[in-house]
Amino acid sequence: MAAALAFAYVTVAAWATPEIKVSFSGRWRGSNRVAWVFGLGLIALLAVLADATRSPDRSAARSLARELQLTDLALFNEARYARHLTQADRHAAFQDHPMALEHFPAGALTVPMSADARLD
Amino acid sequence: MIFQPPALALLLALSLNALLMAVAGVFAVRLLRHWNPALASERQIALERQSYLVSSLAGLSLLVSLPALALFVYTAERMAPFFTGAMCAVGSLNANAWGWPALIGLLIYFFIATAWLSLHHLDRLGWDYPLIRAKYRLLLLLAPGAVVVASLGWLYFLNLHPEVITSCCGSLFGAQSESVAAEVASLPAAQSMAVFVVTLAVTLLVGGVHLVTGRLGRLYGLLSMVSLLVSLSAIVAFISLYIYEHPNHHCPFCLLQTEHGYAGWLLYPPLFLAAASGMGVALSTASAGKDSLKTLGPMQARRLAWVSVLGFGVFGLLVAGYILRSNLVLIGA
Amino acid sequence: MRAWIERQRCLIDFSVANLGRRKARNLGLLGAYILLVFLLASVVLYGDALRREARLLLADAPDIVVQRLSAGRHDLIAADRLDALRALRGVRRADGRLWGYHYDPTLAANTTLQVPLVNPPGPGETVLGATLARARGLNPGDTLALRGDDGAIRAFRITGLLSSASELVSADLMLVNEADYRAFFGIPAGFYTDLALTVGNPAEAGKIAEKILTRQPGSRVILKDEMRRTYDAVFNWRQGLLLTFLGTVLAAFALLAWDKASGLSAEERREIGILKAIGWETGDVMRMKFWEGALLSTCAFLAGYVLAYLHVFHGGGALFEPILKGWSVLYPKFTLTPQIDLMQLASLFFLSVLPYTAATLAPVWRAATLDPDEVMRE
Repeated sequence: MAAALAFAYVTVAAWATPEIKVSFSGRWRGSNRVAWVFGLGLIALLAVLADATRSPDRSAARSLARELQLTDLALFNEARYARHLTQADRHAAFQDHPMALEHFPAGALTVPMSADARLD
Repeated sequence: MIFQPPALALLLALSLNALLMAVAGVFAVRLLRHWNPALASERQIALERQSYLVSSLAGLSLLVSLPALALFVYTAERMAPFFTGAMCAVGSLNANAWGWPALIGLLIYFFIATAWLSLHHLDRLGWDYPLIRAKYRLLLLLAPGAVVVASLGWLYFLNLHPEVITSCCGSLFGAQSESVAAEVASLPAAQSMAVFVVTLAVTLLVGGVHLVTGRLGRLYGLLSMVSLLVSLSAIVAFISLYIYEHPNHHCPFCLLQTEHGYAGWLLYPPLFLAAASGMGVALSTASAGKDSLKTLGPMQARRLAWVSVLGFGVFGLLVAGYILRSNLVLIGA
Repeated sequence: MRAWIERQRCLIDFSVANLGRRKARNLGLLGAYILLVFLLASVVLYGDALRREARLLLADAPDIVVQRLSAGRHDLIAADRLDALRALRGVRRADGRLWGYHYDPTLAANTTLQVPLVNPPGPGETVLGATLARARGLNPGDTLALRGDDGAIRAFRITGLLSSASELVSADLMLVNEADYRAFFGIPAGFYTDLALTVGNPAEAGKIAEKILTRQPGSRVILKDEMRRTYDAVFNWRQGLLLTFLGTVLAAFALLAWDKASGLSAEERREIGILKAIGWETGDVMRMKFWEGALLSTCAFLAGYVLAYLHVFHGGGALFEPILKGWSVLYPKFTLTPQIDLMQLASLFFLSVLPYTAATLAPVWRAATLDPDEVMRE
């Protein structure tokens, strides 16, 4: 968008000034090359946008989650309190024992929940 | 909360904007004090030179502030799920005291910025810097404005706490509330529709007259501002009802959501574009008083009038389309 | 209009020729630019996609989960509370859930044992999550032997695997029936891990939760809304943290762009001097430089974004996997679903192109205002 803005800006700015003569001609003049590169880039972007419209089949995962009443993603299973993030004790400051500082990488992935987000 | 990528992008844009505009503002003071095109002094030449830089800076940062408005609303919309009680952007904006000031600040800034851009453009059309003083005087207003808007943005995002329970559009536009928004929402649909149709028709008519004869440019600018306000009220008063197909849902922000087919993203841009270029029409017409803009000013006014009339036209057609398509019957049922 | 287009084309021609003359320098800059956009876009796309996935997959999670707390920690909950909960108005259904962790020394990883409510496996049978089965090299028909709570080894015959399309939620699951579960962990009948409630009207969940807290103090109530917000917050936090780190990269890049734009070589100065001597105006030189920047930015943005898209949605986010994976042995295989929205693109543009443009403005101006005679006399 910023580039579009820059273009728009250049467009606006260009209205004012008198003609100049710099002639480059031929099929491979710079602006044509630019058009090719941008055209290819745009095609790639469009391909990406088209690709992004595919909607995957989540039904298997969703029905499994419903059936098993799952509450969490199985992304961080190195520590029990990270495996079920939503179910973990938020009351216990140190999850394993009073001197246990966080040492699992997943612990660094989780955000300290603000105190009031809980219901109790 | 400020870790949302759009929020980070917005804060970056606003801060850069404030920085660039502050630089431009300092220069504006110097230019206004010393500008004298009759002189060929070293200072005058330096000023002319620096004016290139400063107007590019200002032009860039103002162009950035336009999408920033959209980005702000989008971010507020997107943050709604984090707040208990928030269903749409209104809830996020209510989450602290800075939300509404930031939005209103951005809105005002948007229109002053577009006015500046059209002045700037006109100034460059003429050969003798015809509007340079007006341009830099307006910049003196914009520069502190940019700083204020950026500060409001920072204050808003820094003071967001997800645990805050906010109130959403239902309470803002509900009958029991006593705000201006609620007043607008409680306007009877038939009357407000009549006002809306008449205003838009008059505006388009004047626009047409201007396009044909080149007259009434200033009136058109005024009317387009009135149309903007009337249209925004109309969105709250009845257009939203038709889109939601719900007799009591007045929120102008829920329109931006997927569930409603992104209606807001269709409706607002042409409206804002039309109003901004309408203002440009007035400025261009007024600039015809300068010698070097005698013919170029009206030409520019015409060009902008096309954009503006088309914008209002598209907006009107979209509204008509939404009303006709809707299953809700508000009038004559 | 035609004249205007032709004019811009000439300026572009000139800019391209200009860029081409200093290939190494501009390619280096372009490379850094692409890398920057790529990193930013990858973080944003990956975070957004994961958040969305979590939200969609967990849309049917229980409305309310009730845990019993003992000394502030999650403890087994007595089954008789179920009846009291079912009696609450608005509660449509209440089930006891049985789940727990078993540390598997062979894998050096935790697995999650769970009892499904419907279609539980037969006695001595189990259904495994696809990741777990892959990690242990197990197939349906094989036997999995685990040491239970009482020290006895129990063998489970694998009757099936959970579909690998669901790995993101089921990677380390091991489904067993209730009797096996209780025997394996030594949990007496009449106790559950926690209780899951389904409410008639989700909007009432908060009220019901308050009621539960007053009737059954010492329990912890988790609403579906909180579960959703937990994941939103986790991925937001992660994403924002990475973006903030990338902020330093951004600053470095802006500095690089500034430096490249202001460090004009003698040759470049002479060029500009000649251009101005043959009649170019300051505005023209600036316009040409703007085109250079615009060309570079657009190229870099398109390339960086497309690469980031491929990386996240077709390459499985290979760069981020180690970060997310941490030390988990049982890391699910999953593909994320792309979602692109215009504002996401816009914010990326703001984050990358805006600093570049701002950083190059002043140097460009300085170059454009060079005095021809001054330059040529050098």
